[in-house]
Amino acid sequence: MQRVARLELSEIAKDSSKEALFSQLVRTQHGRALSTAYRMLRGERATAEDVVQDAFLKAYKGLDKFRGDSQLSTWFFTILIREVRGHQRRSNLRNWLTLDRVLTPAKSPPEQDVGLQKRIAFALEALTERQRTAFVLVYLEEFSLSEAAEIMGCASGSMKSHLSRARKHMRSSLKDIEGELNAKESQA
Amino acid sequence: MNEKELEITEVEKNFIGTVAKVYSAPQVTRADSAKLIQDIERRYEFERRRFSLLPKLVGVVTVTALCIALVLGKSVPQGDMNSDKESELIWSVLMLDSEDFVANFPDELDEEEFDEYVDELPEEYAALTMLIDADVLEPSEFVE
Repeated sequence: MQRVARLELSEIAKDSSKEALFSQLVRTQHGRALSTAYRMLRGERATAEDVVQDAFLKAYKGLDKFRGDSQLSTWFFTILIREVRGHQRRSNLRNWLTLDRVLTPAKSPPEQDVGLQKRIAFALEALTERQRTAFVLVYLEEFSLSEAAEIMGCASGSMKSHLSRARKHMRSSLKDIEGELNAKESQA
Repeated sequence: MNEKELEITEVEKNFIGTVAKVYSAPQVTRADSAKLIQDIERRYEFERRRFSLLPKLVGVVTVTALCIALVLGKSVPQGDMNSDKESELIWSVLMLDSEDFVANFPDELDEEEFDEYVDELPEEYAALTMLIDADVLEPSEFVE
């Protein structure tokens, strides 16, 4: 598995300016941040990019307050996840207030010919907010249990529970295409 | 992914691995990151400037309000304004022990003596003296 870049405060020169620190944060975490947002926001790249930019801006503003109690990357992902959730809630509210909820029922099963990515996005969408966050952070973005727990602000035990349920739901939702998924895996 | 830590089976591990590969995110280049940094610095600067304009705006509004108050204030009859000032002075004097002062208020002083007398008084008493001298107040009004 690909080694995940983590950014520790100790790795950064003590005399680093705010700009230099921020630049390093973006360089090391941009890809992972976009990936996380993309996977949590139904694969909508433009939306994910906007959310990531908002999260980095908040991090830039709050960088002076970062005391190094956790890894800088963990601190940043806490901001990012909060942004993603905020976006999802606003989006859900907007959909609820408009005719979208009438025209496109949220839980209707997707068509069989929809691409695998869409199917996975739909399956993730059907999870609870915490299950989805846990699944994306730990399984897809390869955060450790303790890091993900810190980002989500919960205990490791709760994380295991969210992950277990998320796993079951995902496998159940994608049962009909598990063969197709396995074929993809063997091709790779 | 630490399977032991996560307590997942081999089948589940394969399933998750496949999902992660299929549902992969777009790649980010160094140029993308550099552009993101620029965009954020620009947004930050814009917000900072907008925020720094706020006190100036408040200042302009305050000055405008003061000007309006001054214009309106001029239309208030002079007598009313004097009356307000007098009330203010009276209240400040009432906070003092004015009984002795009023009892000893000199009745017959010429202009020069009166000025010297006033100069030596504390501010509040001096103000009261001016009012009494101008026949605005009677000394008896302050004697309980």
